[in-house]
Parts: sequence; C-alpha cells; structure tokens
Amino acid sequence: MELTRRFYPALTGLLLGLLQTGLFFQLTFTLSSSFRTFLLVTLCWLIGSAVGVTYAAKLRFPLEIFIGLALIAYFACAILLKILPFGTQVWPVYAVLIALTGIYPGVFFARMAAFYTARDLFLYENNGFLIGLILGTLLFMMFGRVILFIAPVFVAVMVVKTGDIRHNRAYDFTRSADYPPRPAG
Amino acid sequence: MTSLSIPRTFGLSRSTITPALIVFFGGANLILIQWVLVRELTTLLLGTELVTLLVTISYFLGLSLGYGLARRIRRAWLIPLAVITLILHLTLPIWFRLVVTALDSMGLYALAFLVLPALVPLVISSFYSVFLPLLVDSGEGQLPVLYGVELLGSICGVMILFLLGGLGLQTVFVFYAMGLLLILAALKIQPLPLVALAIMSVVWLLILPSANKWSNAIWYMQIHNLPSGTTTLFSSYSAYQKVDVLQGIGGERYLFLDGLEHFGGVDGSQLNVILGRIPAQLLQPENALVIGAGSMEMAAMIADSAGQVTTVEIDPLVVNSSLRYFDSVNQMSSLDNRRIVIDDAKHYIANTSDRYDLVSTDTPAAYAIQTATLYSASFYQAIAAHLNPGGVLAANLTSSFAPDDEVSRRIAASLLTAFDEVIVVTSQAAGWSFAYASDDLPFDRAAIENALRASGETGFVIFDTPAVRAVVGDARPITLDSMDIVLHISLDWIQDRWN
Repeated sequence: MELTRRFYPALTGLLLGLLQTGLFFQLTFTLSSSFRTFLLVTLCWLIGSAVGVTYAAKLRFPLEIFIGLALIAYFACAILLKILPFGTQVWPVYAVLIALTGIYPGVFFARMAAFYTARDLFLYENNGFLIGLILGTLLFMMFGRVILFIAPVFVAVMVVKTGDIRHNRAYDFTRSADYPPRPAG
Repeated sequence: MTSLSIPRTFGLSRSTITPALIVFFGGANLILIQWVLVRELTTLLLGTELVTLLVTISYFLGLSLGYGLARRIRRAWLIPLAVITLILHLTLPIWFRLVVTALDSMGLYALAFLVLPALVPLVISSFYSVFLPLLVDSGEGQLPVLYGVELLGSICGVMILFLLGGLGLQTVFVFYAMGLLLILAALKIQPLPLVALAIMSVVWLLILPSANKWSNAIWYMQIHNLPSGTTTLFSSYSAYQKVDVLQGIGGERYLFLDGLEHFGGVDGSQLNVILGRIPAQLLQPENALVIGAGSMEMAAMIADSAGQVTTVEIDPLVVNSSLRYFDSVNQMSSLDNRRIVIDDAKHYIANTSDRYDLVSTDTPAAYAIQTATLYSASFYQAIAAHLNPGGVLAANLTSSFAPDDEVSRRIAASLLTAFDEVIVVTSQAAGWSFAYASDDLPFDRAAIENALRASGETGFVIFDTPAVRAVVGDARPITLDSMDIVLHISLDWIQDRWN
C-alpha cells in the first residue's frame, strides 16, 4: 500500500512531464520555435495550474474529469496543429487549450493535500515529472511523434487505474468523507 | 490514510515569517535562476540536446532534494542558507566558468560533465523547494493557498524574463537579488546584516559586467584555444541561447552561440563563400534568402550579386550583435539591398508568399532537436515550394560527406526527398561538405569547379547527383519522426570530450 501511495503522485508527475514535453515539441515543430511559444506553454500552464489549485479544485467533479479535460485539450492542440500548421494567428486558442491542460495539476495538488504531506506529495510528483521529461525527450528522439500521442494516454490510464487501485476510489476525494480538503498538519 | 503530523519544532511559526511572501519570491527566483543556469551550463558543456537534458535533470533533481530535505531543515538554518545562496547564485556564471577552466587546464574537461550537474541540485534549485513543504507541513499555511501563491511568483518570474530579460544578466540579477533579500527579510534577518547584504549585492552587480567579460574570455581562451589577450566584446543571454563576441589581439573577431563557434577566422568565411558567394555569382539571383544570421557575412556576399537579400533569424540578439560587431564582414551599414526578418525560419517559410532564386542556410549543426528540424525533409520541401524555376538551395551538410558519415548522408537524403538534383562539394578549407540542390540546377559541375578555384579553394571534391545518391545509399532522411540523429550527434559530441 505504501508503494502504491508513492506510486500514484509519481505516476501523475510522469503524466504531467509527458504532457508538457509533448506540448512543447508539438508547438515548436508546427507552430513556431520562437520564444513566444515557450512563453505560451509556460505561462498558460502556470495560469491553468493556478486556476486549478485555487478554484477548479473546489468543483465537485472527480479527478478523472480533469485528467480527461487535460487529454482532450492536449489532443485538440495536436489536431489544430495538423489542420493549421504554423498558424500563429490562432495562438489564443492554443493558450486556452494549454491552460485547460494545466488545470489538472492544480486540482491534483489541492486535493491530494488532504492525504499526503506536502513534502511527500511534491517529492514523488517531481520525481515522476522528471522521469516524464527524460522519457518524453529520449523516446521522442528514438521513436518519433507517435510517442507524444501514445505515452500520455497510456500513463493517464495507469493514473486512473492506480487511483482506483482498490476499486473503492481511494483517491476520489469528491466521493470521500475527507472532501473538501482540510488544512494539513 | 496517512499520517500528516509533522513535528512543529522543525517548522516555522507564523510570528517569524510571512509564508506567502517567501513562496512567492521563491517561485519567481526559481524561474530566474533556471534561466541563467540553463544558458550558462549549456554553454560551458558545449550545448547539445543531451547536455540540455542533463542540465534539466540536475535542476529538477535539486527540487526533489529540497522537497526531501524539507522536514529536516531547522528554522535557524534558513537565514545562513539564504545568505550562501545569494552569494553562490549572484556569482554563479563566474565561478562555474572558472571551475571548468581549471578542470580543462588540468586536462580534465570531461569531468565538468559530472561535476557541474552534481553541483546544481546541491547549490542551485534545492534551496527554494524547501519552503513550500516546510511551511505547509508545519501548519504555516494551506497547500492550495501557498502553492497558488508560488505559481503566481513563477508567472511573475516568467514575465520579468519576457519583458526585461533582454536587458541582460545584470537586470535579471537585480530582480533576483531583490527577491532573495525580501525572502531574508521575511525570515526576519537582523536589519544590519540585511542592509550589509543589500549593499554587497549592489556593489557586486556594479562589478558584474566586468567580471562577466573577464571570466568569459578566460573560459574561451582555455576551452577554444583562443590567443592570449583575447577579450570579450559582448556576452549576453537571449531567449534562445548565450551569445558571445570575442576579439583577439590582432583584431580578429569570433561569434559563439551557446559556446560553439559560429564564426571566426578563415574557416568560417570559406563556409560563407561556398554557401553564399559562389551560388550567388553563378545565379545572379533577383531575390535571395539567407536562413540564419550568424555574422551575416554570407548575406553580404550574396548581396554583391543579388537584387535583394532577406535574412531570417529567430534570435534578435544574434542580429544585434552581428550588426554591432561584424559590420566589417557584413557591411550592413553600407548595403541597401538587404532586409532582416526576426522569425522562426519554419514559420516564415510556411507563411511567406515570396519566392526565391537562391536560398542559403547559415544555421547551427543538428546538435539539438530544434536545429535538427532545419535539416529535415519537410523543411527542405517547404523551401523547394518557395523556389522559382531553376532556383537553388545551398545547404550545409555539417560534416564531411562520406559513406561512413551518418550526419551528412542523412542530410543529403533529406535533400533528395525535395529536389531532383543534389551536388555535394567537400571543401578542404572549410572541413565540411555543402550541397547545391534544385529540381533543375542552372549550373553544372564545371562551373562550380571554376568558381571554387577562383575563390582560392584548392582541395575539394565534387559529387554529382548519381554519386550523391550512391553515397547516401539507405540512409534515412531526417524527419520529425526520426530525430535519433540528434541523440547520436549528442552522444558522439560528449564521447569526443571524454576522449
């Protein structure tokens, strides 16, 4: 059980690392490699996370909904890039899509605060995120863009399954007595 | 589900700190120091994609280290740690360069690939990541609130870089020092030490430009064997890379991007002759495009024989430094048939309606994924679509074209997906091979030979299209789905340093 406890935030971090790497590669390849793209990804992700942690976490939707929203926004970016390569005139759309992807980590941290110490939560998530960055970059170089599409979906399924590992939705706080999150400590 | 009780003796009390202030400036400073770290370390380790990845790994390992140590950090340690951090970070570019210079002078440059990434987690990123878990787990604030504030700090850090990063390292460090001093104030450091640290920071920031140039020149003289007495004319971080201009005692100037020589001496000029002057003389293009600015000597050479030359460059800092320090080679101040566009070349080609008689490339080798896309089949196909009938692409193969050379064969394979004819020239003077590609080359092998001889090139080999196809053999074109070439180049590059 302790292993699963650690594994879950790490898996989430892995998913976030893959999503961020994937967004960055996709957008720099087929939108623009300019600093504006870096800015777009970084700022909108951070803004999405801020919205997630302060507002969206209070909504009574299960975490899976936000994972789904992140994946839908991620693939919407990919589809839009395919339809309109180098179409920088629609950057506000990308901004919204990236921010929607970024909401999930914000909600994740806010809700997990009730079940993990902040130290454990950030440590395990960051380790997973780091592995996501490394794997996303290396696997992309070795196997191409298909990795950017398969890996996030695969890991997202694992995240959902791990969150539901005991088939009692142990991490679905909207359905537990511990929701809404309470101050830790 | 899990125990959340953390001994409060290790925590902070609300009466002694302002948690939100600390995590806000911590978030901002993490972004600022990452900006400096990535550019400096990538340069010192002679940036390739794997080096960038290595630096990123080190940075995030530091975050994990900070998170992991958070519950062991005592309140009394925070102020000394913050003071040490202030000193180490404000001097980071200087002492990192001196460490690498010292290692190289002992013949141990390769150790830098271990020492610097090992130092980063300990002295760069771990300090700031201690605060959030420490404050939350000791009951000084709720995670959603403090994490939200830290994210806001990070957003401010990004905006500082976007709006003011172009003003240089000194400006970034002004904000960085202010942030860390405010953290110290929030930690309730005594007023006198705080004022002393503020004064020291101001003095250091005034000295920094000189120290920066001095240590930069020391590093380049040691690592790139530049002549003794070489000085730094210009050194700055752009949004994309570190840009350095150095000058030898004889007045010769060098342009380095992320520590890699982009222009300097005769070799660099010969590259511009083969990719710029020769095709321009043979074609007399009405409209020409140069992809990548560098010293802009190539554009000047083309402008001598062209109606109009457009240079497209993603990094405005490269253009500005080139205009300012390389006017003697690019004659920008006197030529009136040239223009410069600041844009990503892929984006520019995809969106322009202009067509060209000659497109020449002056881009860094495929050391990183982003630069590798400029050698991809899809990019060459996009260029081909913007050439007039009989138009020519002059491209760098970035190594010596041979059956056992993967890089040049794969670039040539990319060219063959977009053009019917590809002639490759291997120049002894430049040390690399170059290609002229077109669907209908308007000049032949003999014309190239004559032009090369006229340029003073004596030792060269020319491969016509059938020979190019034979050497390329089964080499795969570079595509967005086959970037393994970057991995190979990065590994070879690091391996060379070890050997």
